[in-house]
Amino acid sequence: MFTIEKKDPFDFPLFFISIGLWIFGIFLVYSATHLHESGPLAGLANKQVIWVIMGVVIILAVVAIPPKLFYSFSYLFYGGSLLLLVAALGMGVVSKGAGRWINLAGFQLQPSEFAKIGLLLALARYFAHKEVTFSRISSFIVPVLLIGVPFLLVLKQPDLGSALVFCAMALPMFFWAGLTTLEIFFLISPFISLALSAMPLILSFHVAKSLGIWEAIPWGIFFVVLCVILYVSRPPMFLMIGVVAANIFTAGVTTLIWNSFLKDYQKMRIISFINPAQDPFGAGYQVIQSKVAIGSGYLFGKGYLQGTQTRLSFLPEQHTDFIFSVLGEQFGFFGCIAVAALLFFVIFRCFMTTQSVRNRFVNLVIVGSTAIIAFHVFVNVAMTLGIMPVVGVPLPFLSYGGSFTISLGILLGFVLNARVKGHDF
Amino acid sequence: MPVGLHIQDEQFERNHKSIVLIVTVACFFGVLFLRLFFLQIIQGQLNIRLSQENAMQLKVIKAPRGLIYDRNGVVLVRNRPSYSIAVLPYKLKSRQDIIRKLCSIREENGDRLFDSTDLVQRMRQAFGRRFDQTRLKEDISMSVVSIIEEHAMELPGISVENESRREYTMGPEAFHALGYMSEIPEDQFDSLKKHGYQYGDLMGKAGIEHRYEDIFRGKDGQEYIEVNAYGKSLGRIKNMPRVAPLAGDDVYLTLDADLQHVAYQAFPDSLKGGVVVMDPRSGEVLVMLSSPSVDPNIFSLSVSLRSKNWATVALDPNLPLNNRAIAGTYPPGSCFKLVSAIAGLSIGKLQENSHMPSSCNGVYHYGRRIAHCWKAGGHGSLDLVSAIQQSCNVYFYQVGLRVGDEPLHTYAQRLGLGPVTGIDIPGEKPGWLSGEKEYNERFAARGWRWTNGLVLDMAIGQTELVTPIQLADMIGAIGNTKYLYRPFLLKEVRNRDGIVVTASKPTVRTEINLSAETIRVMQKAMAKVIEIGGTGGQATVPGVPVGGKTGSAQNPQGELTHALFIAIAPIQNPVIACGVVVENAGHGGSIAAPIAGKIFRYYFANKPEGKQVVAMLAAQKEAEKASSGGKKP
Repeated sequence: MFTIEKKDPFDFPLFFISIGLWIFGIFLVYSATHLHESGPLAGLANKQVIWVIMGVVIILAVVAIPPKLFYSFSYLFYGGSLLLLVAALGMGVVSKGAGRWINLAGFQLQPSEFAKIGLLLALARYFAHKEVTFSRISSFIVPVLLIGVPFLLVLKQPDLGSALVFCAMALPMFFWAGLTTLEIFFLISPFISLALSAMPLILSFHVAKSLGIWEAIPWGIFFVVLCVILYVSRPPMFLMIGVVAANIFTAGVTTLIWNSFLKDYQKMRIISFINPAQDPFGAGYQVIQSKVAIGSGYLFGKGYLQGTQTRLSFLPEQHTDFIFSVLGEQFGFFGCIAVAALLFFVIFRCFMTTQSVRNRFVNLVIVGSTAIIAFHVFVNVAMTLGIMPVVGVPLPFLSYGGSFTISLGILLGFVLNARVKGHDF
Repeated sequence: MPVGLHIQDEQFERNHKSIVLIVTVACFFGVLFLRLFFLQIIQGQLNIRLSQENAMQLKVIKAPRGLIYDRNGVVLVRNRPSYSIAVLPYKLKSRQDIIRKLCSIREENGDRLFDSTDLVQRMRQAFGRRFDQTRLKEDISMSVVSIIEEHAMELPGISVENESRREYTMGPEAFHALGYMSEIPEDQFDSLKKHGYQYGDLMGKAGIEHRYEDIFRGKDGQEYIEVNAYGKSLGRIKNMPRVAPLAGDDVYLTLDADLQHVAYQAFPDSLKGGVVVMDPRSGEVLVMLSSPSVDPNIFSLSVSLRSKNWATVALDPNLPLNNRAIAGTYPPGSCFKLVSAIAGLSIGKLQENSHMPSSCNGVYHYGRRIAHCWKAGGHGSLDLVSAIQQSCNVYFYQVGLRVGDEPLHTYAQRLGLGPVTGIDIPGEKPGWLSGEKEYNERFAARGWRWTNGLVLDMAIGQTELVTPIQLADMIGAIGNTKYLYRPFLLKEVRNRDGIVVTASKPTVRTEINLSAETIRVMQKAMAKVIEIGGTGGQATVPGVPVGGKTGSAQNPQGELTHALFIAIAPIQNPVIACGVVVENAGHGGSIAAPIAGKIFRYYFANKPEGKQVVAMLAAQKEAEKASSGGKKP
């Protein structure tokens, strides 16, 4: 059971399923845009073909590179990607637009995509030799700094989606680097506190009447559970105090800011972000249309190119962030399940790769890469299904987009590379 | 062996951790699965229905526009229901076919509803916005509505829309104060879009409708409705969010509908000019009339009718859209003599019994210039009161020379002439006051310089330019003796439940604080003007002493003088002030004064406020008689 697989080092199933998903994505992009004979959306499917070919080439290229090289150049790559972020912000200031893109020899690049990979390599390199543990708080300093700098830079763009990707990628890497499941729970508990203390405030906003002390009930229950867990698991004293303090602090600050500092229009903006249905004719319009499109697919869908919602262009962004609604409408429940199963297979296969590779750096890279892919899949699909706020996150393999297709190629390259060359160092 | 054990431990840890990660991801996928199941299986049938031919439509629920009432609660502007034919282009199967069918529809009198070239044009426009409804025909009759509804199956994409239109109860009588509504021009649409305006929306274009657009408008609501394959609404979709419309607030104006009507009737149809009646105690505008006028209801008519009318209105050389009451600038003529007299009295260069060095023999010689009086034979030697009563130019030429241009300018401005009054409707124009500095500034380009002879013309109101509202405001202030108020039209804003949201308060433009002596002399003189033998005899009101001044201003526009008249009543503690200007009509006394007279007589005979004053004055007189009668024996 604990033998390392020696034969068949290249993961062909993963490779071919990826290509299959990509090709399917091209068909979906075509379906979403084929009615546009002119304009910016015309002929995007053809462009996506080129992006996919580039993606495949990049996978093969990355597989050919010895992992030692990634290891050696990881900090350099990280530094470079930060410079690109700063440059994009600078250009954004000059052109008075959102600083998300930089033009490089006629190509529009999204530096936040590179920053994801840069951060991934840098964290992996750091964790490769350090155990992270709550008993040494100092072990958190460097990784937090590594995440914090690009996090703030993309937040400034502003690109909330990418900022969240950084956090989502870091969490499983912390786990891999030594934190126990319980410790991960402690780590995210302040965020749960934030969410639970904000929830009643947001709900009571429309009632126009404060619910008083009852607002604290959901958070209170969570806090009691947290205390019980702390009592049972008996972590070191300072950790216990720290976790309790952090949770009380976030809950308190959330309530204070909401009640005393935010103006009504700011509250409205937050509410319609979290729950687009509150703003059915603005932010919620896309989500409502997307839900109807997916829901109308029923069991088997309306058939390829037969979508009505999509045909009438009621869904903007349907070739990128809302591509899943095209899938749902035209291929129905079974189509969605099949694609979801394939996506899950990709993620499963990637995580399983760690079992056959001993090198800690390589494993951390795999875990981070897979986390990025999994996060994109979940957030994107949840968003089109109307259970998550709309943050601009593309769906891996299916969404149109050059930068993301290329970085997806790099991430898959890392994983496939590990099986081939992971034992080399 | 320890190495092997270590490897085994490590392998175990890796296996364990990767399983944890996979299970976590699987949980997240489970959430997605449940949601998909809910949307596609449980709600599947509903969503299929909603998506068919995109049966789900976002519909704007128009907020009812606020109404306009006069000061006594009489409706001036209301909304009436109206139907129009609209097209949703993307639902059309064949454009030609629909055009052919629509062209075959006839109205009850046998006329074709559509003009085919016009319809083709409108269709082309409509196809520029494929997913938006565009109106093809507005304000159609009920018989046409039923024809369209009966043939709905043959006319996919064509629908009858229920709308509401503005109805102006007074027609042309109060057009300029109220303004009108018109469709948002194409070029302004983009900037208005962010304020929630839709393509084809109407908005206030002038007057009160424009000024208080935000109050009237309310907030449009939105809902999702289900539409069948022919574009016919099946009603609102349950479970879908809906934003209820917020009705606009109602506005109560200071205008008095009866008085406005009297003024409109009194103003000769064929003549141009403006009338403003105000309450000098607050600045409330009771009447605002500009002639010629337009019936604002034509702007609410269907587009073809509207454009026909619009062409006649816009091309009319008399500029009926121009609100002469606030934007017509005229020389004040002899009305300005009141200002000259007040300036002289206030700075001490004139007394009640002042006689001028040259008595009036019809002309006045100043240097080489010969300035005429309007009465060829001359008035002889007059004191101030008689000079005002008879409006003697020669007397006032000398007043001008004695007082000087600067005090004349200052007092004119203090009494409200010159700059805009700040009335709360758009389009007010400032007048212009002369004086050495102002004259040289204004005509610098032409190289004209001020000469002292110009003060002659200045003192009799031939060099200044003022608007009717400035005149009314001025005479009101002279009557009020303390404050010059800012004229205003908005009295109150009330919400749909009739609760007052905001109420206007009078604002003082300047404190004039005339001296007691000035007040006494001016009141005496103004009263004389209206008496028999004065120039304004046609403005008398039974039982109420009226004070005023006529004016007949020469102007370059025509042979006849502008007829002007300003008046207050009663002369002490006036409750009503009036400014009348009739362009190129003749003398103020014979043309303008009768208009004011009719308004005043109606006010004191019919309006409760007026009757109260008459009763009070009668009681006063009675009391005086009684006390003087009591002393006699």
